[in-house]
Amino acid sequence: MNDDIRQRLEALKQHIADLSREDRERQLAKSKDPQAVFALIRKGDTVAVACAIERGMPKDLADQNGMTMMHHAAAHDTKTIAALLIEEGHGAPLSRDRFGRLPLDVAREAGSTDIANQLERITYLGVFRDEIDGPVLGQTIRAYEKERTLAGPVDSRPPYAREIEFRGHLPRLRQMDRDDRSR
Amino acid sequence: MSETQTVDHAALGIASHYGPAECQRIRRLMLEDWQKIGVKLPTYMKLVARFIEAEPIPESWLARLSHQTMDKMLKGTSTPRYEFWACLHLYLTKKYGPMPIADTPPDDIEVIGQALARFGGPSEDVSISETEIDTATKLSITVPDKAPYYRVELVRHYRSDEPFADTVTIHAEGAGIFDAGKMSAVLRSTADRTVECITIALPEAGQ
Repeated sequence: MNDDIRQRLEALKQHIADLSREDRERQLAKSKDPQAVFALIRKGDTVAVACAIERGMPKDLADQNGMTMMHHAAAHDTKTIAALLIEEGHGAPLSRDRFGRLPLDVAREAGSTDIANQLERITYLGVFRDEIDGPVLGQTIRAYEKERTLAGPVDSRPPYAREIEFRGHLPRLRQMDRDDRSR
Repeated sequence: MSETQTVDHAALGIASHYGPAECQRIRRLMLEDWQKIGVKLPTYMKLVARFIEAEPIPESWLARLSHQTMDKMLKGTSTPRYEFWACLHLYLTKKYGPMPIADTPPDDIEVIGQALARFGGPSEDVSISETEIDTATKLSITVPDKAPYYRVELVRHYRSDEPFADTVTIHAEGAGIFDAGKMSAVLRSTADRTVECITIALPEAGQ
């Protein structure tokens, strides 16, 4: 996250804290139906999305195409919303949509480079664990890591490969195969 | 066309070079086609030659095609000259439509572009590469190498009046053909992969 986005996020949080009760109600009314949050992201309505997240949205909320909030933010290059989702733990980096795409895939496909850089950090946690001053804060990366450890192994198979059963262990080589390999 | 080549690949819309990988692919496609037709090999060899005999291909090559060269090729032992592979590629292209034989599979846009060019006729030349449809919509047009269609990219920007609103970018890409001053394109949204068809009158260069 660059400084500009970081400052923008801080200002956004301050703006939401300063909202009057009526204004807050008006913003929350926009996402009365949880599915409406996707339209808000497509419009770039950052304040309404932030209010909806503050009220509490399921982290695995998806539309009819299996696209999460992060998929939509990545597809429409809404940088502030993407940064907010990542910071608030709604990054859902391993959720795949109906086409088998991760949010990172969608960001790359749409050419949203800044968002893709951030999503890389929370998708490949092991690689960026020790990064000090990257696009995503270290504490955010560690929070995702903790969550993933608690959740256990994930099913990373794309939808078209869900029927394939992978064997837990490889079969032992027969003596004949071993001889072949040594030759 | 070089002096040694007697089949005009440019006029017939086929490849100009057949390396070992391309030859293998053609061989596999021919074997599949033979299996589908379900006749004996000599009959199949004559059928292939008959299928492309209307094209300007020398009689000598048609004769070779329906003779033992084909038999050897299907058994994987023969490595004949350019003309032989060109005849087979022509047969496959005429029968099944444009058939890329390179190692890398075609991407989605290439597939739709080839289909559009085949269905609506090859595209005319466009003198511009980028145009603004309105203040928020930009259309980029590029032509891939030796392709009868254009790659089209449509980018729309939108910014709401709400405070802290992000600028939203809506991105769609696809293929199109240009005919009689109009670009007709099939585009797919990057976000949710919805497909839209657009027809746009393009301004002339310099306007």
